[in-house]
Amino acid sequence: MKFKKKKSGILEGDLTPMIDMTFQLIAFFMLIINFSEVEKSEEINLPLSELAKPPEEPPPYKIVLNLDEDGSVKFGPQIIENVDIIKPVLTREITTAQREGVALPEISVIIRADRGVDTGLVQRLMNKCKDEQLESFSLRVNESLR
Amino acid sequence: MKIRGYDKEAEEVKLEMTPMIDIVFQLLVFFIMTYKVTAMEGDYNIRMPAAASEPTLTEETLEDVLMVRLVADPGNRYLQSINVTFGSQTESWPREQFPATVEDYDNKTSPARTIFRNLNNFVIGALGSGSGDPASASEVEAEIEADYGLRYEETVYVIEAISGYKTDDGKIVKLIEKIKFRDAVE
Repeated sequence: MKFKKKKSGILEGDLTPMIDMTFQLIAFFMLIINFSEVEKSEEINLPLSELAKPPEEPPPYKIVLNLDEDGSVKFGPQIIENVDIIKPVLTREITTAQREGVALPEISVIIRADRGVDTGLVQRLMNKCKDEQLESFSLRVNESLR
Repeated sequence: MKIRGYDKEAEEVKLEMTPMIDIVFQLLVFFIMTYKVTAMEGDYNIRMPAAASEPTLTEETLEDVLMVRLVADPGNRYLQSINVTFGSQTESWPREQFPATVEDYDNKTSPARTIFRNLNNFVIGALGSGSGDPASASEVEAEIEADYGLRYEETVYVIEAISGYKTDDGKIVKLIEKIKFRDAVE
């Protein structure tokens, strides 16, 4: 009887399926990762609402203002202690937007206010923006599934 | 013909997989670690044109404005009562129960949120009893006048009640989309 000669040496598994899967996973996580999170402040508890939907198309220019429970405004890494001294930040942002060719009414102010903050304070922040001729506002809420 | 140097064994190039797999796993771990599960965020849009371009409220335009007055409890800053005026209709609801816990508050059917359901039903009724055609509903504006100290989330629930509702099968029906704020009452 004739036997096939067995190859001697190290037994090597086929790595192709594993690499395929791993690349798939990397691609998945790369696509899902969201770098726009930087402008969101973690400490803020947004109010819940089931009707608010994410905007269908992003605004041409947005200013994200995080209004914390203690009345301070977080803009990116910057902390503005009081709503009343927000003007320089707004002026700077408006200048940047206009340099990019975005007209004033198209600038969208996104207000991420904490659920426990005074309504009047949110309004004061909006009025400060209004003083700079900004007129499009979005009140950001967390989508509740209940 | 025999070609010299042609050796089948030697042609099989062996790829060194180990470094690639190392890097690939590093990448995978990085992306998994930075992945954050966050709830989706949505927006309520509010347009507040500069005061100069705003038309003054006349008797005629007042017809299409739903005035909502929010009164806060001075102690716990929750909503105490809502007064609404729409055309000739006026209505007022007191808060029956304040939310005891966050869970109680987040639950839409809890008694703490009856006041918002009342408002929602009023808006549905008021828009329906108008001229009847749905196109006119989009003409209606809402103006919110709130106490300064009112908790912001209460205002958001009021905006939610005014702007629409969700049917049982998950469809969103829009009511009033133009929402404005009046200066807060200090």
